[in-house]
Amino acid sequence: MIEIRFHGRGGQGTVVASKLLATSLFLDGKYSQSFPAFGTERRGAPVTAFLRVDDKPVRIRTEIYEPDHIVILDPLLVDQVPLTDGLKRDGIVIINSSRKPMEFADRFKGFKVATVPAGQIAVKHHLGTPQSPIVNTAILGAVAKVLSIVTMENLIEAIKSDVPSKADENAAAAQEAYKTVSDVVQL
Amino acid sequence: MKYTDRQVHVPLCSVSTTSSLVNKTGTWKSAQPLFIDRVSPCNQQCPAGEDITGYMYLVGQGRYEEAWRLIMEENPFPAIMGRVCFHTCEERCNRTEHDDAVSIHMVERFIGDYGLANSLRITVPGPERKERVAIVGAGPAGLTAAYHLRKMGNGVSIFDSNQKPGGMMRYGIPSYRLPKEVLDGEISRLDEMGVEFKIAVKVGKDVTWDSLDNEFEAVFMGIGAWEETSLGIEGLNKKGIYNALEFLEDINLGKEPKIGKRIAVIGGGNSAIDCARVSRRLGAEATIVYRRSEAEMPAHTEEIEMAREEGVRFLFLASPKAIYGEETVAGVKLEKMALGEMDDSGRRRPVPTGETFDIDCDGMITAIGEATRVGDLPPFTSHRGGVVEADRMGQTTHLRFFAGGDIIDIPHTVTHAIGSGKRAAVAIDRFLRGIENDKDSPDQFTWGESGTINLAWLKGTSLFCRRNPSLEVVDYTDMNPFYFDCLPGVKTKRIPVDERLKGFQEVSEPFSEEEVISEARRCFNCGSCTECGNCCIFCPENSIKRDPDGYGYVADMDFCKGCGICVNECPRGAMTMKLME
Amino acid sequence: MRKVLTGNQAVAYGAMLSDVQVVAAYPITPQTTIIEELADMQAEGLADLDYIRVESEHSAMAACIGASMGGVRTFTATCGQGLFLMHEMLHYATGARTPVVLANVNRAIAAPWSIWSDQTDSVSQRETGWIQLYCEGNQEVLDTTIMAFKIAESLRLPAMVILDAFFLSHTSEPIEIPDIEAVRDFLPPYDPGDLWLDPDNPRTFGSLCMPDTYMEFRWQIQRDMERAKQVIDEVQDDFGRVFGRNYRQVEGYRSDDADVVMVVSGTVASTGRDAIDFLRARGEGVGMVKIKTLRPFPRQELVAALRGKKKVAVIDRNFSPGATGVWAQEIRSALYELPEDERPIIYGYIAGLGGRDISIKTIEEIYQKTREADQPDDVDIWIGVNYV
Repeated sequence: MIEIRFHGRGGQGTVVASKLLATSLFLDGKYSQSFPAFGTERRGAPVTAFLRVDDKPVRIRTEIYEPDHIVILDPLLVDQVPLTDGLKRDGIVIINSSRKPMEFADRFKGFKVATVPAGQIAVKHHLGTPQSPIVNTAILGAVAKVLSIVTMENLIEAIKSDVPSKADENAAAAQEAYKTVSDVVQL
Repeated sequence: MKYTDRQVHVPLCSVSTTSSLVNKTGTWKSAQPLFIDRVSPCNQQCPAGEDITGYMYLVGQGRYEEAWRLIMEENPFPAIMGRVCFHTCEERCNRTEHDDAVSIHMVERFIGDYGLANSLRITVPGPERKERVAIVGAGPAGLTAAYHLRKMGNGVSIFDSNQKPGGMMRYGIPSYRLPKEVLDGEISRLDEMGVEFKIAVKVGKDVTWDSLDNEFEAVFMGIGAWEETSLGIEGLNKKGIYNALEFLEDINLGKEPKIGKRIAVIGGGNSAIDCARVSRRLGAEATIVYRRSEAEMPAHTEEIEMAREEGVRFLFLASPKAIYGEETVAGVKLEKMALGEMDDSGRRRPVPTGETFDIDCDGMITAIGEATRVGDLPPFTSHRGGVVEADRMGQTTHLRFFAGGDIIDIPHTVTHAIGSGKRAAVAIDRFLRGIENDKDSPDQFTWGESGTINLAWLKGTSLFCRRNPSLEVVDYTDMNPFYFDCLPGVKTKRIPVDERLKGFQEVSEPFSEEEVISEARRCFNCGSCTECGNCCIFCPENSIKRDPDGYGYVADMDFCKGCGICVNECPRGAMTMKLME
Repeated sequence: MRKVLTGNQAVAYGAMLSDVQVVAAYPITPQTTIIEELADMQAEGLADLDYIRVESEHSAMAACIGASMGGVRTFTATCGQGLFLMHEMLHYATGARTPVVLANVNRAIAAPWSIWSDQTDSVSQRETGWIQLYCEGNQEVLDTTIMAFKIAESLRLPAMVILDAFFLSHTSEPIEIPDIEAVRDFLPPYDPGDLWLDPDNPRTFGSLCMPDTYMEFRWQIQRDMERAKQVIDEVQDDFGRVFGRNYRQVEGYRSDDADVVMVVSGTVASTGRDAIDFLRARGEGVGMVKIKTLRPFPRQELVAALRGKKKVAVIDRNFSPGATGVWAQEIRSALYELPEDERPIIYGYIAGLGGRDISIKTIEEIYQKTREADQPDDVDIWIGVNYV
């Protein structure tokens, strides 16, 4: 079983990201489970969502305390939330950032990091506003590339069938992120 | 023993063993609901007897042609009416107690224009009867009488001394209030209905009253009031002095009256306002001189307001005493007036103070009232100072002669003239059919307390099925205002003042279709069942059902227990409780 | 068809597939998306139902009772405070014998305000005469919704489908959506017999009942609740035959040869399976029993499952102030009929109130405490409370 924790802010599509990934994995023939950290979602407030995937049905129904990987939709959370709590030693951190992975050496020492400019990609594809881009589909493209747990084909299918609007733009954002995400760097 | 092995002798849940229909709750009542169609205050107020609530209902559903036909049952000129009527209906509208009155006249104007734009026609068969009726005077009263008589199957000839029909609507009302093409369009429909027009024929001169008396079975007189009341002071023959009627007639004939640059208009009625507003359009300054104060002015408030917008000045509590000037008027000597006791009209009487002052002017228009030219009346007509003696239906002392419009004792408005023409048409038709009109007969077919005639009511063809019709007028306290949101009314828009003063373009802009529908839907339809279903929904005994035979609902008296909830929940006062004995 | 659905969507699909005819509901977190989904289904023409918007949960249940009396299949959903507001009408639905189905998303009771999961809302409705069916996963939620209509309608008793707030309501997972025609075969249209409000033959329902007949009506409710145990089994068996998924009122998991048995309900049963596997792998003699029905209470099945066990640890995500967790009360009472030598020692644990996570670690801690103590420290033991 692989467990992934998503960190973002209300309005960025964090919960939808976890659900889209669950659907993509389901299309891949896996057993998946996704859910938000249960709270009252408000725009701008830190939001956490979870994803589990396995080859057999997922029975455990608790929050994820020791994730295999984490996905960070808002780079500013790095200084505000204890993101790596419980993250396994081999865990990969995927961050929405236009900076290079090495620039996070202080924050994520000992972990593997990949960065993707998901915000810029979202703006380019008119997802959300420049002040508040919706980065969830772009970051999933990066997840697909970096973690190799889901096929791009099924990710695109999930996006096209499940996003409430701008299906093609969202799919294009995921494709672009898939191509532009950095290599994974051990810090 | 196990549960499953035992039984009890009651049903699964508590339920009556017999149908509840055996319980005739109807025996409990001491009062019963009555579906009653009452008169709305607007309908009651309408001098032309229109079914306003009815056409508001139709317009609200986008049924414009049906609305037009409903108006045409009563009044042949909806496009004219929507423009020149002073819409006293809106003053009585129950909606004024709620938010704003419904803009009835603008809806009517829309419907009238819809009829013109779509060339809607009233088709009538040829005259069914050999009797013919002569109409003298093609003003609003005469045209209306002709229209209704023609619809009732009578042959009609209409005589008028002017070059074109329309009377005061054509020669007295400026075209910024009533465009001539609207007037022509509405009158032309009468032509197509087979009304014979004898234009430029002056009865009493070109043909004699006696010949009409001999040739026609009945005669309607609607010759109007074309004589301006004299101010009764010296110097009225000076140049630059007009009376309102000749001034407005010149304007309407397209002539340019020779009038100065500073005009004093004497009078406080609608004609005075018309003269002042026309003067402004001719590039002159205009001051209205009125002997009482603004509150007593007979002119309509909106007219006064528009005159003010257009720069007309007002001088109140002043009465002309003398006219200055050699050949041409140069000024007026005015006496200051004060307000005294109430007079017969319920307004405070002007009392001279003896104090005078002068104003300069180079033109003057007198507009203090108009009367019938006594010489134009047939010699056998009984009248008092030009006001023809007639009963409530318009029949004169010379029984084959009927009268209407400004020559009888009613307010001098187009709408009242139309109402009088319709009344006389009903009376003439009955007269020709040999039905006696006694003094009580109008009560059989007048609508509301003021006694206007609604023909659909009379014929039983009203839009809302009139069951238990009542002449009682519904007021706001009879409504259930809970069912009506407060929605401000659409305001009439007027073209900018500088546009207005450039010519005689119509001042009020029409409502858009959306505005018309939203206004029509604001109508409470006071007193009329619109089949909203509230009575049915709220009845706790389920005793009210749709009437299987027609319009509206019926209460099953076997089960109605007389609680009165239906009456309470009727939004529009179309139900009442009747005590049983 | 398989699809990734949240628990709330699963409820809505269950109701839609059951051809529910009237829905009257009021929104409340975390239930709202159930009725939003149904409203969408109606708007899109996917469900042919009348949707009644009401001003409160009390009215929602009143409207459902009225609709059900009208002879149609009726559904609503609520949670927590909403269920409390419905309380009076819950009793009424039973007495009126209206087979309304209600989905309750278990939400903790205020004050203090909480939107997170615990069972105090539904267990507080124990005496209302509603059948209560607790679920551990989204598939069970969907399947149970369909079965609930069949159970309720054949008994003319209302039924509640219960799912944990967020742990199910907002968790997405792939589930099998049955074919609607197969559901229609399994669940024919509701037939109210001759007990319904027929406008052509109006009768008075629920009128005043004199002392000489009241008890008879209440007795029938109890008789049918007893009968419900058998009906639920039959419906679950039918469902298993048609759809291949089997549910039991009482289900053991590796409990046959266990000395210590944990008794659980709701999502704890799902996590519990992983916990038991984890503990078993360590060599512990532990098993689990999942109870699906609080009402009717499956007394005999439970006695059979727990007879002769040494220790039983009951995990209650609810509690009754002044007594113990409600499941523990019920189990103590049921097991009292066993002879003393076959009667296990009951350990009552209160855990996971207000949405506090019950993780594998929590279950491990409960097991540890049960194994180590010869007798429970107290009538119940609160897990995870931060004492000073």
